[in-house]
Amino acid sequence: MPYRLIISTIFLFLFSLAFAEEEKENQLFPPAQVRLSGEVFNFTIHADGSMYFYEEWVHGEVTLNTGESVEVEKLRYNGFLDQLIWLNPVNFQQIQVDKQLVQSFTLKLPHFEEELFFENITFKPWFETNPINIYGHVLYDGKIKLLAHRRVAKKGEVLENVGSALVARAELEPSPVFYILMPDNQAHAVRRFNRRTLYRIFPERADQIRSAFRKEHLRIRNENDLIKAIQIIDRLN
Amino acid sequence: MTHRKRIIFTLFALLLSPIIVLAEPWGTLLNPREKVFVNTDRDVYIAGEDLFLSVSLFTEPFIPGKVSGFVYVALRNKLEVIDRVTFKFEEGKASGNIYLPDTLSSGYYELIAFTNWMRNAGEEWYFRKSIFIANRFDTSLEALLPPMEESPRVRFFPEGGKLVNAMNNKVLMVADGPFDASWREVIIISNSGDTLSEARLNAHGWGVFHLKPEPGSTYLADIDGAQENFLLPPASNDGMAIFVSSVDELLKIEIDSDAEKVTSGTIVAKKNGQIIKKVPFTLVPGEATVAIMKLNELPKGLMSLELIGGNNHVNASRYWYNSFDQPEIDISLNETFSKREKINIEMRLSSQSQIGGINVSVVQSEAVSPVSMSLRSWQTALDLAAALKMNPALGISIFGGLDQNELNQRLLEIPGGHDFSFDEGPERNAFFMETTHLIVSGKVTRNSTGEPLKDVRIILNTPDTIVNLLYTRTNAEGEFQFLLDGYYNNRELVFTPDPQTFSGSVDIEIFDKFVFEKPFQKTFFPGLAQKRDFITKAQEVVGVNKAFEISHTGPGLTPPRLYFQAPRLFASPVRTIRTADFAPLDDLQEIARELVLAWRIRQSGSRFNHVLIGANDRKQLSGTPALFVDGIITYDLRPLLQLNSKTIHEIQVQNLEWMHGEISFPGIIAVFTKNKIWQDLNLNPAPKVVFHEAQRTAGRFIPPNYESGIGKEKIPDLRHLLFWSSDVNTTRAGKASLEFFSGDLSGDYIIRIEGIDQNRKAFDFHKTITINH
Repeated sequence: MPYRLIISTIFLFLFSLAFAEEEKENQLFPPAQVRLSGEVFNFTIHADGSMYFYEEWVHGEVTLNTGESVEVEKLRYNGFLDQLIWLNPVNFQQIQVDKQLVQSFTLKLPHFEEELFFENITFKPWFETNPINIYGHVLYDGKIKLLAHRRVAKKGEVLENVGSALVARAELEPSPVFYILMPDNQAHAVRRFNRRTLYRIFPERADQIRSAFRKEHLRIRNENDLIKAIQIIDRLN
Repeated sequence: MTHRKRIIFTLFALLLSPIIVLAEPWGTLLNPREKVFVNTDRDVYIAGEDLFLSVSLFTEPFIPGKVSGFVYVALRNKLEVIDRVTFKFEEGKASGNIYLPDTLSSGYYELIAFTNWMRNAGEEWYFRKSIFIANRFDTSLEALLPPMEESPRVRFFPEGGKLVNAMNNKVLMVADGPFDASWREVIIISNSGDTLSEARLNAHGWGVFHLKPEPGSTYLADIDGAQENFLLPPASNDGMAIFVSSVDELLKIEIDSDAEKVTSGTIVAKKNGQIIKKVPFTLVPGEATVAIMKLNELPKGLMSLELIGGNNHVNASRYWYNSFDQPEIDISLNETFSKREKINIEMRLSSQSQIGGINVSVVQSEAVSPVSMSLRSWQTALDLAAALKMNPALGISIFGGLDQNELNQRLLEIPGGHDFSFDEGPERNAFFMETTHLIVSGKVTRNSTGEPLKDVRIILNTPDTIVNLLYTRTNAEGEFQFLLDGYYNNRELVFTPDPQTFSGSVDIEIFDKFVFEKPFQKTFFPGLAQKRDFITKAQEVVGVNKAFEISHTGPGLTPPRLYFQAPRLFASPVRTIRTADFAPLDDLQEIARELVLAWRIRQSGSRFNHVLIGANDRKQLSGTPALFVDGIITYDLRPLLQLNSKTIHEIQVQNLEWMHGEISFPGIIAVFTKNKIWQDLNLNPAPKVVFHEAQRTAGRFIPPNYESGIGKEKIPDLRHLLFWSSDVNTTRAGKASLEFFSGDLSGDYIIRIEGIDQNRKAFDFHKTITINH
């Protein structure tokens, strides 16, 4: 019996020793004082499919306009509203982070080695008169930039009887839009994965790009191919 | 004690031990030791001039990211702190200037430098340096005179530890106290009145003489100018006299002893109590005994030398400092220059490549104190203080400003009774390391009892046209800290305790970094009284420069960042109401009812309740909305009720259920007054307001250039400072080249070059040049 007591106490001691070290480390720098601000989020929608880019809460880091960052345990991106949602650990309320105070954020998705980087960005698509502001998932950042707007769109709705009432149930599905952002902040939307779209966006270098794609044996069939293609085009610049 | 009780006791002790672990020693990864040194362009100034300085930071161990980013420099006299400056470190170095106002009275001033982290170690670790400032209009210049009592305090320290009769003794004589003993002649006289020895004290007021005492005699030291003579300690009949010197990389130990009593022995060199070298010796009657040790075989730093006789008795002992090598500096430079001639310094450091941040000052020699302490000398003094377990401030006062030879003379004063613990860290560091942000800290106590209060939420706002907010909570000691970025530069900081986190009334104290416990250090520069002519001329020079509006201080090379984002509580309100857009209303209640609409203020007896109607669902938000006036949070509506359309500029309404960190706001009302009258409103609870001074942007010395000097002949160039730079860099080959011009003032100028080599060891070089007309 005393031996068990001794062993468990030694464990306790080691634990408290580690705690003491951490305490000492904490004596070097004060706790971070950067905090997120936002409105309590109560929005719900009766729908099939999720409003979120990734349904689960994940760890991430939010960088505010002040340039300071705050690590957050539970974050998710609402693609339907294009809003960042934070689960406040104090009262477990969901908070829609004030978008105008956010510069960028990252999400650490399980099974992904790298964190996904989202930037609060305002740009002007060439076909629009007014600029748009989105949280853009940065897929490539060079002289030109490739962004994905991870939006979730309503594809339709189903009417159903709930009790005596007729209720509309929305059908939500991911509907990402890719933007190629030029150095002059003009953006081109890419809605289809094919090479022709890129030749149209860069008409003056279409031949050069075509031969580079051929050389690399690149066919654009998915998001990864698009990233590779943009890398190649950026290298040609 | 039973076996069971013993086990329980041991376990209890084991569990408590981490508390002891918390007292982390200095100089570890978790408790790095920081020290700062300040280089100034000179030591003597005239009020109305700029003082140029650079601060070097030393952190042990050096861990990137765990190094202070800011240093505080205070200039004070015996009455008050004259100027308080914050500089930013760039790679462990900060530089800038401090303007010495015209109104400063003549006298000695003290520069004190420290980091926020150093405050944990105590003021004995702060860097202190004395300077003399003469008022431009002071004609009497009485402050030049050193403090003079009738006689100094005099102590004698024979080499080896005691005076030995019939032996040739070397004796250190230290004359201090409020008495300028520098460069005074001393004669040693016997009780019969014979002069037996002579000495000349150095600039620090001490010197060395030789004496062969005779049994039964007493001896007196007669210092020129002192009212009394000083009795030497009695000599002993037993023992050995030693005389240690270093010659050509050899440590030469001469032994004088009565060979009939002691015939042989051993000289033992020890470092940190460990024997590092033993040299046996044999005494031959009538012959001088000399033992030799090679200095390069001995470790660097402080060691003790003990003469152990045949009976294993320590007959004599002393300390010796084996100084660290410094890189050789070759300077190619002429020795004399004429008026406005280009001076080109070609500098080369042996075995050191690409050293940055070298300090170079070229200043008239009268403006430099003979006891001025170099960076190298400061490092050595601290090394010695550590080895001798002396208070670092005391170590610097004794050993600072001494060269290798002087150090070993001064070490004859074998210090005893020092037990300053260099490495013992505090149980708790109350002040944090400022790496990227300045930190303001304070304490919350209960108003009635003074007891510190834990977990009180403190809100920090600054008056602005937007609502900004930081908050923190007090710890078990009632202390709190805020990290301040550039947004708070040169603004009022308003600290308000959140009444939801305490009961009763509380006091907030903000810790002032520039309050010092240690009193002003009285000092004097030896020989300054003889520089009256120089000071008088310097006063005129400053007068001429003022008349011609000549200044050699320019902006730093890095432009200061002026714009910083505020830590906003919300980006844009749901609604903004500008009172000027509406008919004037008499009070806030009326404005809420008629203009804001979503804000309901109700009176119930003497109490006022107020709520907001939510913007999304038009339902009443549960709870009292947060109130801000001119950006300052307040918890009592009553003082605001008097505000009306004449005094209010606009009201921002954020009628949303809002969260900021852990604080929930059932809506926010932000009132902005026309004339920022928040301080006249008697806000409740009363906030604590302090002014936060920004870090000083570094100014630099810009010497005139006569390369294409057409027309510049008409402007006088009266400068005591020919050149100052704290950022001279050598090339990979260890070379650096400097060019500047001499001015119109003739005289001797000292070139002082100081830097830190790749091993963080300081090096220095001095040379005098002459400007003739």
